[in-house]
Amino acid sequence: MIILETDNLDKSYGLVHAVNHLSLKVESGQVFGILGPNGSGKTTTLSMLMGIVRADGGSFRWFGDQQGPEANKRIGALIETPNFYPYLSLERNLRIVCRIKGVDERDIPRVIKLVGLQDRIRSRFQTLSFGMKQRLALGSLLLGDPEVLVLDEVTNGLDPEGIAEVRTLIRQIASTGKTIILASHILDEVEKVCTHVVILKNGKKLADGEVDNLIKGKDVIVVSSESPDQLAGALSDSALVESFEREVNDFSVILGSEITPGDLSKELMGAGIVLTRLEIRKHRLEDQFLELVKQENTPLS
Amino acid sequence: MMRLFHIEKEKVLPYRVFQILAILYAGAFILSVGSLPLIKLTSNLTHNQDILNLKSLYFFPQIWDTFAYFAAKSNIFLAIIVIFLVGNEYSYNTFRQHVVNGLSRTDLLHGKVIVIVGIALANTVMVFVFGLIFGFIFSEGYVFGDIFSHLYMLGIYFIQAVSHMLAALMLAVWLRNKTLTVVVLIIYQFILEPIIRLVLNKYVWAKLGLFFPMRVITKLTPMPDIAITEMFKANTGLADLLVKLPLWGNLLLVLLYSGIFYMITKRILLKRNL
Repeated sequence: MIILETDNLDKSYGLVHAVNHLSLKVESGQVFGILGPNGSGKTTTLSMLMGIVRADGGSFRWFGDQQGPEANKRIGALIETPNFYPYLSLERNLRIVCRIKGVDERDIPRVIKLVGLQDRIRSRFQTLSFGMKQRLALGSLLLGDPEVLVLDEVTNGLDPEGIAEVRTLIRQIASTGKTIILASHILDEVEKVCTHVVILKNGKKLADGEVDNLIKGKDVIVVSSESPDQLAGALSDSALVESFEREVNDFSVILGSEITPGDLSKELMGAGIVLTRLEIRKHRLEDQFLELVKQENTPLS
Repeated sequence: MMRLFHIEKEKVLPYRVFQILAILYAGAFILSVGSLPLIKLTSNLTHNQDILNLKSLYFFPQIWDTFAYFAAKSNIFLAIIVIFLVGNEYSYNTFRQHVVNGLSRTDLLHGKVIVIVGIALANTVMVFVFGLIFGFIFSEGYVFGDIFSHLYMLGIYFIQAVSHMLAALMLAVWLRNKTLTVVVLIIYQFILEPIIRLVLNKYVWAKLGLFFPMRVITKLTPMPDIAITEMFKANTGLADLLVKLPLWGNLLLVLLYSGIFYMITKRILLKRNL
């Protein structure tokens, strides 16, 4: 089932083309990442989808045919910062959310416990630390067990422990089969939790697809030997090697598909080259992401 | 409707600034209606010196005119309450969050209209209760059927309070910042509009000023026809300043302005990004 479809969604703020004819499709059960550097249009896109920013052009549909309040009630969304009344207790704040969403108030203890704030339920929101506020926001969007979650930079400003907690929570929720749309500028985060991804730069879609194909890429292995020049020659002749780069005496090698580091080692051994180092470096994600983003250089950046 | 009422109730009633301003408003009202009888009871004025003519002020049914008039004098407090409540929604980003959670933008507006009507209603009830108490204490002989004959003035007061708060709502939604909005409202109501009215009255048409929104709204409940004003009229040439439109004319204008405020607020809320 298609959860969300956008068609040429477009938005400008003055001279800045924040979102540029963006078409997306999110299907049920996907953990869909929207990845891009700061200012690439992630928040603007989500804001349009949630009805708080008006699109200049294009259209979108939730759940096949819905838009606006009816769709939003079926979605748990956190855009940018947790927004609550500072002078009200957590309980009252969540009660307001329940009223809006039409959710039974008896769901409050469940979500409060899920995010570990049960001891603070009567505290005023303003007395919480930032991490707790973020957790409350997560709890709030789980009220009523919505079908879809929309998360915008949820781990921003959290300490490492908080980040780990939030990611675990997201993965837990994802494992129950819910659809999650997650915007982030952190590649690692998208790679760790998402199944599908779209990469944005200056509001334009650079690439989209399954995370495994798109950004996980192939593993890189680093090799070196006593005689680097001989190794260089052997690597360029080898049919097992897709490409390699020399960094002084180390070589970063990308192998052809289905080829294991062992195959390469065996071949080199046969050619009389003894490796002094063979290290598998899990894919050069950061590089690949930067590569993708760099391709699209506009005068604005 | 009930859903919006409950949502607003959750956030308005526990709000400290709301509680304080509500107490200030009630206090200002009780002081203003209580001070005259207090002076009279504690002084030794002979009947001839009695310029504070309680008879025309605090007797049924004129008391409704008096109390509506005094209550309306402090309506600026109500306007400020509304500005704080709306300004909060912007500074806390909660209007935004409400829409994300599933309210429509029209719901945002109607929630605030419910708050405005609720506040006006609560105050009308307060004025009614105090009117009854003071009326029964000070009236010396009244015809029972007369007691409520001027009660419609409380309805006028209700409309006046609502329209003043709608003006505040429009400004607050437009400016999105409570401090700025309070300053703008006060400057407009007490300085800017009076100056514009004076200038226009002098150079364009002597009655033009009577049609300006704040003039129409703040003067809707007429000044009670009391001895003290007669005296001022005679002695100070204030008569010129007391030129006014008939009550029904003012009422029509207030309703018209209220409609305009509502429409403008709705337009801003529907069009603008939150």
